[in-house]
Amino acid sequence: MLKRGINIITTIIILIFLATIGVSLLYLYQKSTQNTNNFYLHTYVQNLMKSATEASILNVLGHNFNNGCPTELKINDKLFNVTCYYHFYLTNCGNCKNCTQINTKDTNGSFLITVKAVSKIPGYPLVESKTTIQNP
Amino acid sequence: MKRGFSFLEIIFALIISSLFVVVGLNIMAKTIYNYRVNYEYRVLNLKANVYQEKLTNLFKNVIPNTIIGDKCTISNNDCFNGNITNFDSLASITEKNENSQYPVIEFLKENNYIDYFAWNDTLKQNIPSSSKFVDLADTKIIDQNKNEYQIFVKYSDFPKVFSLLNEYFNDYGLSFSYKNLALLMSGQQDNGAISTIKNSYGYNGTPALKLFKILTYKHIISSNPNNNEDILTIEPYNNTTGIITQPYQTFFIIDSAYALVPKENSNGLLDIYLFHFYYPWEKETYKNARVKELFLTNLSKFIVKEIDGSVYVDFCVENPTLKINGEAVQVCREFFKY
Repeated sequence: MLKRGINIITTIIILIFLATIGVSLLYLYQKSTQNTNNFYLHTYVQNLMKSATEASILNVLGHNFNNGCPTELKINDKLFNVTCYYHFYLTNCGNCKNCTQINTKDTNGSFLITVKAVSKIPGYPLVESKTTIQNP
Repeated sequence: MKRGFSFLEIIFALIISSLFVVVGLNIMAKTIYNYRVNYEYRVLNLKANVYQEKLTNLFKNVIPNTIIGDKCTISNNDCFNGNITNFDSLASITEKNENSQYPVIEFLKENNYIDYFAWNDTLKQNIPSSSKFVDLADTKIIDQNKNEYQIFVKYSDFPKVFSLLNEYFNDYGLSFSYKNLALLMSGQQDNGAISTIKNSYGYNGTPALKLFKILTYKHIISSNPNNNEDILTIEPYNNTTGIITQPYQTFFIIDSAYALVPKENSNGLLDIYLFHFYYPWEKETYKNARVKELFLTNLSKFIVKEIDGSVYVDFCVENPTLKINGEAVQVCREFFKY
């Protein structure tokens, strides 16, 4: 009887084996890339939120309070939508709506800034927020 | 007539083919070995990434200068059992006697969930669970000797804070009481004082002079949510004659202390356990922790430092079963958490 070479079953087994190795390698590679992306985005959004806080302070400094208080500042970044919300502590709120009236003169003009960053990237539903108290 | 091969030709062919086989097998073995090493490095890399994320999340909202290092021996499980000989502020531990001698890291942090802001459609703005903003002019002294005060926290919703913490505690099968909370009166940017670490937060039986307990609270709801406020009666956990502990403009709400405790595993590497849900301000140490969970495994190096109020972490994760030319296969990471 003529001796055959590798039969079809053996070929399929070898193919499945190779494919499993290939898929697991691809899976690990993809996970590793995803993690690197996550790190990048986390660091990016942290830095962005710090910058946004600084920008919103500058916005308050340049605001004419005779027209009421600023309520929010929107920053359109290439990767995130950033919104900074204000809340003021004033001894006299006047026509400022986002304000709580306080009695401490030393802290008059303090304000809360809540920075909220929402990812615009499909597949990365990342939302970060941070609140700080700014003193006058 | 057609001849077969001569003996010499067969020998010659055998030598050549055996050379091919030897080289081929060598290449094949190397390829398989390289594949395995590559695979292990990828797995370790992934593991290191996950560990870095876990640590980053853990050190989120950590209160600067409340981090301490506990002195103990890892090898005989003294660290794991809470038998420590000394402790010091992590910021003051120098290069020479760093983590090798102070392997347990303890710190206070604000719960990640209490900085909760919900959108209020009437006001068209986010409402916080608590602004942690004290209107100092309204502060009343209830008992001068006990340093007991009544403070007014403006634009605040403490019941929301307690409900969030209650859910968090319930997730771990624990019951929550606001009586166990500690308030650290301080500005958000305040780094605290390193020199007073041994009488500020109650670590290892020392006095908790800087921390206040909440005796009572009352939530006032106003028609305008901007004017919602909490009236708290607070007093320090410990009082020392002559030392006045007083409220400041803002504060931290601390629901637990945290400890990262190393333990040697059967591979001779370190497993890091996270001990939490314990209250140093109530004379508890980390061995009283209600939750002790395995946090990181098979580390060959784990160093935490506090530099200028930022946390620095340096760790290596190792594969205990694989060696290359006698050298351990490990992946290391260094990072800062600001």
